[in-house]
Amino acid sequence: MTLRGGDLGWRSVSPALVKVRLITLAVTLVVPLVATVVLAVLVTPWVWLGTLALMVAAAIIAWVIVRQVSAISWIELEEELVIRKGRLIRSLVSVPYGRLQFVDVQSGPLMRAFGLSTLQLHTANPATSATISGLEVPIAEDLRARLSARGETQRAGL
Amino acid sequence: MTEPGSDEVAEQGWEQLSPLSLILRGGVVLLAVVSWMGAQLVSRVGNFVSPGRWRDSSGQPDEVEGILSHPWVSLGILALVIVAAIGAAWMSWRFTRFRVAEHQVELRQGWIFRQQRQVPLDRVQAVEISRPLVAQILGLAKVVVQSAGGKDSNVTLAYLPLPRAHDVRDRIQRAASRLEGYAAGLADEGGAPTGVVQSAPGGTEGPYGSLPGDLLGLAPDTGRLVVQVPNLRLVLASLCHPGVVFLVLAGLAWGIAALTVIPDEWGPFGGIVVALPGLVPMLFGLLSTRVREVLKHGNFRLTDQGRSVRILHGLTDHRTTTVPLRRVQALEIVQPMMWRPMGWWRARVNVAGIHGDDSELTNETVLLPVGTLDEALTVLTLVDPALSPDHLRTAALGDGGEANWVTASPRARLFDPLSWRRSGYTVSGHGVLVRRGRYSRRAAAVPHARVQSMKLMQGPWDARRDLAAVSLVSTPGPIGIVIPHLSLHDAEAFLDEESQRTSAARRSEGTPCANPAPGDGLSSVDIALTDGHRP
Repeated sequence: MTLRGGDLGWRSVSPALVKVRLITLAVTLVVPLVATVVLAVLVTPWVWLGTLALMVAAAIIAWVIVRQVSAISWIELEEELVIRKGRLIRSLVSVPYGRLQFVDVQSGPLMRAFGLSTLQLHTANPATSATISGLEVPIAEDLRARLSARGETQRAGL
Repeated sequence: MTEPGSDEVAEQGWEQLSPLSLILRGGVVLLAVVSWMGAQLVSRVGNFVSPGRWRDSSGQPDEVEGILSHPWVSLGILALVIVAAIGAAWMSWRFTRFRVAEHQVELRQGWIFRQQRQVPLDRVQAVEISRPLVAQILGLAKVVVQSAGGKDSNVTLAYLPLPRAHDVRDRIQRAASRLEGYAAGLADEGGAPTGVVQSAPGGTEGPYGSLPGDLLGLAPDTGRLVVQVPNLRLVLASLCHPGVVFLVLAGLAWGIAALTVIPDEWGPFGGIVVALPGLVPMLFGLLSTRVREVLKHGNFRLTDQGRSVRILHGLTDHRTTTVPLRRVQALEIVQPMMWRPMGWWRARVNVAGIHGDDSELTNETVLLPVGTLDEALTVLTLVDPALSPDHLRTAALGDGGEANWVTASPRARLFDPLSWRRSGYTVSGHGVLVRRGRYSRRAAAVPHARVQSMKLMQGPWDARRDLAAVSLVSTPGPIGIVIPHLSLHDAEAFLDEESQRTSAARRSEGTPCANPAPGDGLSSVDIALTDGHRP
């Protein structure tokens, strides 16, 4: 398990997750953008500065999204599922199958439209939720089934 | 539901609460009613004696008002209300019954609206005895049966005479431990139990209140007294707090400033008089946390019960809580900077099922509020006998450079100039020991078999210096185990090795057959305790 490098056959998530997150970003930015444009036209042109700032922020966030999604990778080892995330703040979470309490697969309308879902692992500590977003639905379902089966056979008491 | 006729009740082992609990449970309400009525009466009598006053104010004398104002009528109403209140309380007491059955504890309440609550014994997390001040005066105690289902699923037996409370608790524990004995037998077949002190069956039973000098009436009825914290030490330790020092300094500064500014004609103490009002709220806020600390941990005693440790604590509101050893997930000793001259430490544990989000309950995982290092080590090794006192001592006091210890990388000096030499970890066959902090020291231990998951983290600054932090995730609780600023190479190697060690530990500790209830996190075997304490 290394924080960088792809020696073990790490799998990455679907690039379509970038689209989903960009759409979400666009939708959340529409209202403030329109508001600044309206204010700029009606009140004072100085508000164009606000519009510009919003655009710049959007561009930066979009760049971060692209980088972040490509940084998510996961791998099923013999006894644990390992998830890596992040570029600026890197993290690697290793969850043993024997510690899984249950596994969730969620998928909102937007995610569903792109055939994606989010898999969430739950251990006895709710604070450390390990999630993999942007798995294609069949992959997520297969993974969930495998995780549950392994959880049963390797389960350890608290 | 059957009628609680007295014959049938006696047959089936239903028991009643102490009649004195009437006073405790209804007493406050009654007192309020009486005092309110009393106040009304006094004003009415006043009006009656000088009728001119109300006639003047309202113009015409109000007939109803007039009748009500008559002292005898008022007295009658008062008497009626009191009688009704007493009657209701008496009925509620009469119809409250409980029973310790073979597989469950049952509580039946209500006269018109019946309510029956049952806690299956295999879901019992803890049986706690609690004695508020008034209950102590009346020789009563409250038994709280805590179950895994959360706060609403608790059964509270309030109140019972103390000996009966002990008896009821012992009966519940005995019944529950029969179930646990069965479950523990399964676990023993499955693999070697580590970190569990086996006690002879029935070892937790015995006469209650037998300890000499039992002024609290909450004696550890059985078991060996391991550690006792003098209240004076607790008070001193509570005062050794940055807040107190800050307050004293602030008070001095304020006083001096005021004295120099205040004109002479205000007298020598004028400045203090001016300064005080500003300090009072601060004083209050600070004192309340300090006082609460002393109230919670006062009269602290910890006894060894074989498979669990029992804690007796509380200065005015006496409580017993029991921590089952099997459910301890991580251990820690902490030494705030101001305790260093005295060499004091605090010991606490993470216990499965006890969630740290409720501030009222997190303190119950404190196994030693303040004590010497030796006492702290005694407690920790009692809770987890596989821990070595020598290793723990190194973890507590070591300043770096010991063999077997992997410490932070020298590249971390910039980020952690004070404690980079000290902070680090060591591994034994049983678990991982982690130490941190140079002036305010802490040392934590987590058995390999108790690690939930692991995390490797690297922020941008860490990345520049090729460092990373490792976190061993335990169950929710006061203890979080993080080893910061390891070199990335050390961190990755540790993660790989630790994942092998935890997997081996899981295999030898838990077998699927010992944990028959998958998916709910607290399987029935885990909860079947002699006497645990609850989230």
